[in-house]
Amino acid sequence: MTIHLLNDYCTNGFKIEFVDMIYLVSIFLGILTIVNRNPIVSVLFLIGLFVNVAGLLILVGYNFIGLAYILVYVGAVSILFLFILMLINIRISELLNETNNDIPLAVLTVLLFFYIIGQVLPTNLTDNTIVSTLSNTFSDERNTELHNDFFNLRDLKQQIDYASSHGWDNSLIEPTHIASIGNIMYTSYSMWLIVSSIILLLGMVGAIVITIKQK
Amino acid sequence: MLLSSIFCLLLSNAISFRRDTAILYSRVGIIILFYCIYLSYNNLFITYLDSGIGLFGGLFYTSSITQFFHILIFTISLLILNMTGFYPRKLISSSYLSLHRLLFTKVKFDNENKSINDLLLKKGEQYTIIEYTLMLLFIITGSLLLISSSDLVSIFLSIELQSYGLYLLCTMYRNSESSTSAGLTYFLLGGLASCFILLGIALIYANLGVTYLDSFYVINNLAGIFNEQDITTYIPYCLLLIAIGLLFKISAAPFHFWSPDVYDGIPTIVTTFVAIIAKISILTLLLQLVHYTNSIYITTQYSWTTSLLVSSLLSLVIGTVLGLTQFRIKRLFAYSTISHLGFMLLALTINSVESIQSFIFYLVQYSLSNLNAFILLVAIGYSLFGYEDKNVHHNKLIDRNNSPIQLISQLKGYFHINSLLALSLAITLFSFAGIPPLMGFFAKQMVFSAALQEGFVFLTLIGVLTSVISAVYYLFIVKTMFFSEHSYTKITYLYKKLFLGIPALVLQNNKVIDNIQFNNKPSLSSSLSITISILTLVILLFMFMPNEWLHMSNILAIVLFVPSGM
Repeated sequence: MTIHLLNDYCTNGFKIEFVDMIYLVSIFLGILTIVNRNPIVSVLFLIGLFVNVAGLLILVGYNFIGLAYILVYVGAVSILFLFILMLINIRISELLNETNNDIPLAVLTVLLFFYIIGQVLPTNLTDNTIVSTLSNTFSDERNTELHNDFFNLRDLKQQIDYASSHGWDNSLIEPTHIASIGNIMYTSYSMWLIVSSIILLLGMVGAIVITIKQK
Repeated sequence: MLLSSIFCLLLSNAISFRRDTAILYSRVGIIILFYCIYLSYNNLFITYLDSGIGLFGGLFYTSSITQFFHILIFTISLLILNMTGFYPRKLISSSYLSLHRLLFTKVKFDNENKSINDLLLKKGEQYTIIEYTLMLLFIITGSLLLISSSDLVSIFLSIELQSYGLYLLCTMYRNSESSTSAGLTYFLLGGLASCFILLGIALIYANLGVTYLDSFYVINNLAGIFNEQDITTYIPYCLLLIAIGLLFKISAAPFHFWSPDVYDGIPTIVTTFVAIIAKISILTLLLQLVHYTNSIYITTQYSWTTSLLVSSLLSLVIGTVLGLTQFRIKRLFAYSTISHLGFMLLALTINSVESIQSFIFYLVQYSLSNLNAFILLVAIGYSLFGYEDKNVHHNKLIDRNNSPIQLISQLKGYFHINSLLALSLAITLFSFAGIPPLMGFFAKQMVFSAALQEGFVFLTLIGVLTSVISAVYYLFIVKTMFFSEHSYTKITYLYKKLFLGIPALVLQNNKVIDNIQFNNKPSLSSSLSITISILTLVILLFMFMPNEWLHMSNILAIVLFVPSGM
């Protein structure tokens, strides 16, 4: 993954600072989502958060997951939230209860979660995502380390130019995420598609069954 | 095949306008299940089945054990569909008993007789939901896929298919408020459990990069040999997370709190299905997981199956102790299920040939006797037609149409109303308690002997003690049924009407050939009584020919332990 970041840095001016900016903005939006008293505004901030995270994912290179984020979370779930909130018409005064007592609990939960997950996650993931979110300087050090010790930057640049130039054979060498996922899902894992389609069918039938007007 | 039948049923459901044909759909479902049993029985004779055959590129697999549990699930759901496939009460007339008349003539009651409809319960809510069979078939598909899945993602997908169906089934009786709220509880907690399972799967994938269970087992066991602490320290935790999710779904002890509420809220007919089918499929999956990850080569201090033992201990204690305070019968059954799950988890975790054998036997016998207990509950509710309860308290229960028997005190003195049903229920309860000549005793004894052989003395002692304590509440039900005065009186005007007889015409080729009177007492329909009698006799007479059952579970356990190549 570090290599990947490095590649983008060399070729298209990707800077690690952008990622940190996005991190900061999403933390900010997350806090706003919780703090805000008005549920509609809160959901709007949530949508902003989702868009932000999707942008981050696309920037890092997970195109498909980023697009799916926008489609599923922003396009469907949050809009549904928004509509329901507008329809059920909650009075804001009812929501104005004190939640300050829960703050220590929230902090404790978050710390515990990070501790446990940090234990269980494999080392290469923890090093690169969670730690580098927390410290910007550390990741910079890491990048320079890579420059000096392992790679000759100029050679790498040439190689990358060769690999990702806009030739016609580009699509043969590196298919996009969507293409490769589709390729796998429709060949060796087609059974999963069938099972999930049955689940969707059940969901549709169920929604009709429990809402249909019986005589 | 099951799938194509589902689609046919779905199509016909979609185009049918009449709600009262639900009974025919149940019968179609019974036929579908019959040929599914035939197909999976045929599949038992495939070569190499004993070592397991991967299907669909290794995403699913089939082996003798999966086929056996498929047949078990089909049979049980067949018997459950039997409850909605026929009207609960019937009329007998001695002049209409000859075979010739039965085959070639039709009975027609004079116009729409209200008392007939009441008597046959034609307008009961379970006979107006035509999608019931469809949901059942969806759930069965999910549990079949779950039993034979050999990939982490397939496990998740099939669990979701099964659970969505169950949530929908719970909320399907829309007119009853309690079943809707119970369905919502079930949905929320089931969703939480799915989150745990998904987290465990994601962590396994993040650590090892595999989703195939086969490769996962290989990595797991090899890592034990090389004593590579890096991997073996966190694999058990991932498996523990998955196990927590699965225990949630079968409502084993630390995660049991939803099941009494849900079982009590939903109609008894649905409870029968929800309580049995989900447990069979998930326990079979756990059997596979425990057997292949509980390797002797793993030398780390912590094995995830220890936590299953903890869950087993808690289930035994909580199931019996909390069961003592219950006065609603379905809550009591839920707690008794929890304590029996303790036994099954104990047998599962020991993982020797004998214990797996006892596990399989326990699962089969418990499913059958639990099924019998619930069918009896339904039948008792039906058989109280024409009686009026003097106890005002009983008449104020909510949701009386869907689950007529809710309190234990409603069974008071039932022996004096219908002694055969009361006797059957007593036999089933004795089998739950483990009274010697019945089937439950042998299952418990096998579990205990397997546990003692592997040195689990403490858990065996706990098991014996809790089994004695749980006998208290089973015996309490028996006591209330046999040794109290009942509070029911016959409704006089209804009986006067019945005594006069219900007139009916016998038709042949649309011509009236006879005029008969159904003047006998309405009796329980033969579909219910035959099912109950067969199941009760199986429980009662098991000791006279135990060989078939024991050999079956023995062979399955040996097949699991000895690969065919050896």
